[in-house]
Amino acid sequence: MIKSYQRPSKLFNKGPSLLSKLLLLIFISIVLMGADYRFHYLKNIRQITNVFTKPFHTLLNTPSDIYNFTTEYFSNQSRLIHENEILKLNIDSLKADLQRLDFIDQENNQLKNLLEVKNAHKFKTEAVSIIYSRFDPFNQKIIINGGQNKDFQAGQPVINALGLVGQISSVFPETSEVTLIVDKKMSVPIQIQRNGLRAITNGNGQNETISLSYLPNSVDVIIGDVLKTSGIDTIYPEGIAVAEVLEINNNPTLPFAKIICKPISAIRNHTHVLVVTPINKIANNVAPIKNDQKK
Amino acid sequence: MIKKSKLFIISLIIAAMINLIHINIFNTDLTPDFILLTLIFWFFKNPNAVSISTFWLIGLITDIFMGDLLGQNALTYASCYFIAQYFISKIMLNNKHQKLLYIFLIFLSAQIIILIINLTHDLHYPGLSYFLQSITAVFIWHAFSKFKFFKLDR
Repeated sequence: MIKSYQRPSKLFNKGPSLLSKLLLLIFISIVLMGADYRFHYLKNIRQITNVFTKPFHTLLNTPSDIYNFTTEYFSNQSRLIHENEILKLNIDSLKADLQRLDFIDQENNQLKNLLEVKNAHKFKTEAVSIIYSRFDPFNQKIIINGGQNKDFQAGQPVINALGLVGQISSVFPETSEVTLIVDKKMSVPIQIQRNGLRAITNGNGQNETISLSYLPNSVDVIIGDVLKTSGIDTIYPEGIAVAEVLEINNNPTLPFAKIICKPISAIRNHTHVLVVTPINKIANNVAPIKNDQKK
Repeated sequence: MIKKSKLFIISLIIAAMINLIHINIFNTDLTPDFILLTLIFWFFKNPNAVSISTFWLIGLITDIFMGDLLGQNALTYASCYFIAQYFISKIMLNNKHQKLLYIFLIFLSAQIIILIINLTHDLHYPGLSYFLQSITAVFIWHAFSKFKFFKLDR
């Protein structure tokens, strides 16, 4: 009896051989990959396919959503009352801080006006939930709930309560893709809080760390230094915490110091993020996608 | 035959949905590619029912919906079919544990192909932990092979 796994006899097999089929398919795949790498047409296809995949994501998130909802619903009432009291106290102290901050902000603007220094751009934030993170060890990306329907544009920074999370890289009808600061392709202009030194961070892609690029071995950086966005690029608002210096390797044989930092915003631990929008919608520094469409 | 093709499509849809659920442990994505796992299972269940072009086409559909570069999963799946075809007689005739070794090799080669594709367009090396996916794939295969339906006839 001929078993199903045995190969068919070569005598009657008149089609092309498996190897030639494989080579043809590899060739087509390489052409597709090359064309996609050059022209990015998969992004346009995604605009359509994302509409179909979103209900699946919502469906898959339902069990965890129900779990979160029920655990919250049935949580101890006294604990909630206690938590509420603490939060109220926190709000009071934050309000007091905010008043002081408003005053300082106003004073700062007045001083800047006196000195004829350009005022920093104003930004507003919008809270969105994280739908899922991409299944891909080569890219550090998350998908957030909100896209063209909320007027998001590629290039907008994404933050959370602790600090910078990343930047919107693609916008779809109802979702957006956020590239995290730890992604290999991601760079952020920063300033060291202690001494005001300006530098650029680059994502390492692995181990959830970022590194500081192009700083000489003699640079004044110590472990524990806090890096904040410098605001020079006008994309990221000024003064958002980015990372903390974790490790410094000064190798005299290399031209630059190797400085490894840990992102302050625990990027994997949150379910909500804030998308930062410039108030006066400076169209020049964001939105390559919409500009392309207009052209 | 129609019933089987329906089962084939349903199993792939379920695999695609499982692919969207993530189990992040120790900063490593341990979730293997369930679509590839399902395809390879169907291939060993009935080698004449799926061809190399089926593998390639499903890879392309995966790319359109979930991939990063159009054609990378298509290439990987087609190559996996070729490797699986090469191993088929060995897999069918060997005992359970040797079978698992070949499954591991197929998954490892799939991961190496994806790694090479990604390294060629200037992305980083995700570290050795990336290859843990192949080991979890073997464990999942082993766990499922205890059920009667998933047993491959010898």
